[in-house]
Amino acid sequence: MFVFNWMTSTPVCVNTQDTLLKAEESMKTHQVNQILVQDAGKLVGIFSDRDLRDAKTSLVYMSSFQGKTLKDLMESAPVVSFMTKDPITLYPTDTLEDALSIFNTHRFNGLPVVDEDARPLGILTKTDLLRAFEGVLGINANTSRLEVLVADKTSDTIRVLEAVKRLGIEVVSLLFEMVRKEPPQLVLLLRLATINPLPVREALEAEGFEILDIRKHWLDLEAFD
Amino acid sequence: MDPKRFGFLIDPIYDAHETEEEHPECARRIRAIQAGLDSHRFGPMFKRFQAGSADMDAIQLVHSKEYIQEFRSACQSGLSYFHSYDNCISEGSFEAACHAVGGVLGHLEAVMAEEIDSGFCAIRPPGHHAERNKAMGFCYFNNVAIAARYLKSRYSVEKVLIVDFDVHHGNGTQHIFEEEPSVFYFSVHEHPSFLFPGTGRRSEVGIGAGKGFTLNVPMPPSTGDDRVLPAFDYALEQITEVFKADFVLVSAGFDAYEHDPLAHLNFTEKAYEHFGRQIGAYARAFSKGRVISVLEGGYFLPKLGDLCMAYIEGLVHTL
Ligand SMILES: [Zn+2]
Repeated sequence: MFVFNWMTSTPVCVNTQDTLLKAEESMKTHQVNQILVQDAGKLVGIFSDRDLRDAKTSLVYMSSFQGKTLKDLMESAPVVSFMTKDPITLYPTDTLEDALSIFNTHRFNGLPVVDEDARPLGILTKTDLLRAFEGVLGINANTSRLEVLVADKTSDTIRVLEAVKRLGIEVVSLLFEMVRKEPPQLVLLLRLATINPLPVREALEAEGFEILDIRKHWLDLEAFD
Repeated sequence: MDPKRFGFLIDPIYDAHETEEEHPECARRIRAIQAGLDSHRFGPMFKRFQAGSADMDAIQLVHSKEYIQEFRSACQSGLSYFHSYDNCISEGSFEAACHAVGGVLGHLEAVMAEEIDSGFCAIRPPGHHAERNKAMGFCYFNNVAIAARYLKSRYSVEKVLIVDFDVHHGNGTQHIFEEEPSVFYFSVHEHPSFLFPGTGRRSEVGIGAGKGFTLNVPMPPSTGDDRVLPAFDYALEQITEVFKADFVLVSAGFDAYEHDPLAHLNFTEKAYEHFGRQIGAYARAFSKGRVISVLEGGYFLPKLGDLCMAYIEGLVHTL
């Protein structure tokens, strides 16, 4: 789960001496919402659609008393004046989990990926990250899902997986969720590559595991509203 | 309609597709349907059909030559499954699968020759999960998709409506036709968040020229007759406005039944009778009453025969 597997490589870049107009055209042609700004091959900033909107707002204001059109001003304004300078960057070897934390604490929609010499290698956008977790969780694989109540993450999971293994069924993904804190209630969500989860359910129940009854669960949820 | 104008295909050849013990998709399913048929008042009246084998050209209307060959050799060489552990095979599976396609195509021919107006094919293995080149979810050849292609190529039928009420989404059928405006795929099934194969969301509506000719109606777990019937009727009304089919094919699966072991919906016999009536009414209005229904899933054997007959009764009643 590393950034290099999921980033958008060959990022769209402009140079420090490029104008706002050039930056806008680049974004349009490549249909991206963020571009990187580089100086002599090194990353110096990131310029997003949000920056563009803010830039245009202030230029429109200036144009009203300078007697120039917005386009004139965009043709002369350097992109460096409006970009986000020294943005938080990722290395390709950073983990997806780290990227997730950064997105969670800042309001960026994309993070530049650079090498050790600050040369731009790619961008990891929020969309890339969602796509990555969708893939990692096996959401789009053809699976059956089972929610098993477990008392602990290790020994119970081993028992569950051994039962699945005996039946020759492939596990596509495995997640834990603490569904309740007091008293603690832990759920193991299993995605299995089969149309028929029945043998697994029976084997686990025979071992004393409780499996969430989806029919009943849904009725309980409806009783909420 | 006169039950004598209704065809019923059932054939012992399907026993040749043997699956391992306790496998839900087993030969006893067809016997359960036979029992339902025999004990029903219409049973003696329907025109009975047996299955012939489909020729390779017909199967190739959907599947590649290489895929067909791969499946044939897997069966011949005694492998126990094909593409996934779900898909058990035996030596006779290839022959059974060819007869499943052949049985359906024979039924189409009987309709086109006006020997019958409509009919039900109790075939196995089922088909709606089978992709062009991939076996999935107990399915090897996509019987209904091949039938739709056959109607178009052999009989120049222009517009085909496929109704799929199996509890699982028919990913194979959807993918095969999703770019075509002349085959409408309508599926009602358990919501993909909770059930295999994880496709069939409302947002899947077709692609390119086929946009608007796929309609998915996913149902949350525990949905019973009270909710599905109005949803089904409303969907069919919407289809009526944009698509008047020359022929209707039905992927008739009975695994949304309340006691079915594989899913989490709560349909009763009434739902299936209702589907029959509504599909019959559509076909009578637009398709000269031409409806061929093809068995897909349905794994609660004590009721499978009754569910099939309830559906057929609804159909025959309205057609
Ligand atoms: Zn099914």
